[in-house]
Amino acid sequence: MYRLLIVDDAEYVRDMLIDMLDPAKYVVVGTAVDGFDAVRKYEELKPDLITMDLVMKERDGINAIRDIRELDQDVPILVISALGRGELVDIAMEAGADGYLWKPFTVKNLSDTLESLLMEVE
Amino acid sequence: MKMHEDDGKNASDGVIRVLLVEDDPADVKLVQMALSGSGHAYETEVVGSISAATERLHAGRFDVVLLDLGLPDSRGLDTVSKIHDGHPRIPVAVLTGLDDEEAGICAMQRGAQDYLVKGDVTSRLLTRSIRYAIERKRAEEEIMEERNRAEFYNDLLSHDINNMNLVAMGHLEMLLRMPNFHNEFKRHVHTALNQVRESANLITNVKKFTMIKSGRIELKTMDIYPPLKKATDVAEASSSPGRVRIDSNITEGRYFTCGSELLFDVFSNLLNNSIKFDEHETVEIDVGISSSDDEKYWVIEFKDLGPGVDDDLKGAIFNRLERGHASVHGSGLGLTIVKTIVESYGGTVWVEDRVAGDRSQGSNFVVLLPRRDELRI
Repeated sequence: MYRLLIVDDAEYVRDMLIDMLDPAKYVVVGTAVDGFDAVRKYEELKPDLITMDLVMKERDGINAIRDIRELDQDVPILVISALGRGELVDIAMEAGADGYLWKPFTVKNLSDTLESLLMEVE
Repeated sequence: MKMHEDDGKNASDGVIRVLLVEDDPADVKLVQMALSGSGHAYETEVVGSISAATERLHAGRFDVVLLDLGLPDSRGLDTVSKIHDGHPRIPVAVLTGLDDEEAGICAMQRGAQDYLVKGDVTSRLLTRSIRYAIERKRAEEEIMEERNRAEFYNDLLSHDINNMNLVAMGHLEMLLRMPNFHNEFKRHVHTALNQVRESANLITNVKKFTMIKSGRIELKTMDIYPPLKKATDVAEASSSPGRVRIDSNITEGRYFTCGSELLFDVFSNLLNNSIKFDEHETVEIDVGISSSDDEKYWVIEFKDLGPGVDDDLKGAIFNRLERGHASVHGSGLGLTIVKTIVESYGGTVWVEDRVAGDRSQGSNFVVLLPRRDELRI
């Protein structure tokens, strides 16, 4: 069972991700609403995997990735971003993200991406 | 109250406040005479350097700057940039030396609204130049505002509405996956899901359109087969099993063009368009490739058995964003994207009747892509 932290500024996206994840494989141990919150929750919960939105008001996902990478080189981070934000995703990957998923995605897209990400890092 | 240039434009009393930036007393006199002889109400303040001009623009309110390009603390076109960078909203008309129209034109590229050759300064020309600079600046600001607004809508679409679509799609999909969900209801959920997908596609297309138009896509020599194969697979998988049959004579490693990853979108949009309008129980599309007679292009034809396209609409369906064509409903942005992408590769696209003169026999969408030699590594 993988312990997940979900970072997204939209509540309805966070809730939907929780619903979409296969409960036999994943448990969402926490959610964060911006980059600051993400780092706090990361330290507190030490999840096995993080999903990261990029465009957030207080502190964005790219900075959150950089902050988390200073604390932990290994925790897999999956960027979830709106299509057409390719340049942001490139920066996020350079900052240390391990994979990305474009919105909108299907249940299958999400589970396939998570699985291949976990396979890669293991 | 401290006034600022940004507080507004022309004073309500009709007086135009001019900041004349000129260090040569003779030229100052020339301009002042022209202004006073014009019959219009001007209030002129004169400074002899860029630093003084900047200071005055910070402190007071002016409607326009008349700017000499040869000042003690700034020479040439940098003079324009210094005013423009510090005070981007103030209209500027540049005074150039005799026969130096080139400098005037360059000054306009740096942010000035007009220029005037000093030797030609008459009351009439100066007044016209000042009015023109103010009006042009106003128009520029309006365009800028429109552009900001368009970017805002674009952001709203690509972020907020995209998120909402994502969530709607996610929940509908989960509903369909519920083991005890009543079969009778599935039809409605499928319809809703398809509509939300269409909405998401539309947003994706708007986003891609913006990307192409802003020139952010790099072109490279590429094989036509993989994107066509992917588009074919996706199109077949998106309909109920067996409904869509796509035949093609395109093989891997033979047909190369100069394109980008958006070639997939070209094929995908063309296939989806044919599928969407075909009401037969099964949809058959034939995709064929050949060389143009001059061997410069690959000619790719997508032949369907759908309802065909009215002669009147044959051009318009590709031009949704052009003036006057916005009301071609039902086609989304798909074909507009196709045309934009294909043209950015140096190709063309059009539609003709599959059987010439008989629209009811279906359509033939023809794409010309520049022919490239095999990939050399």
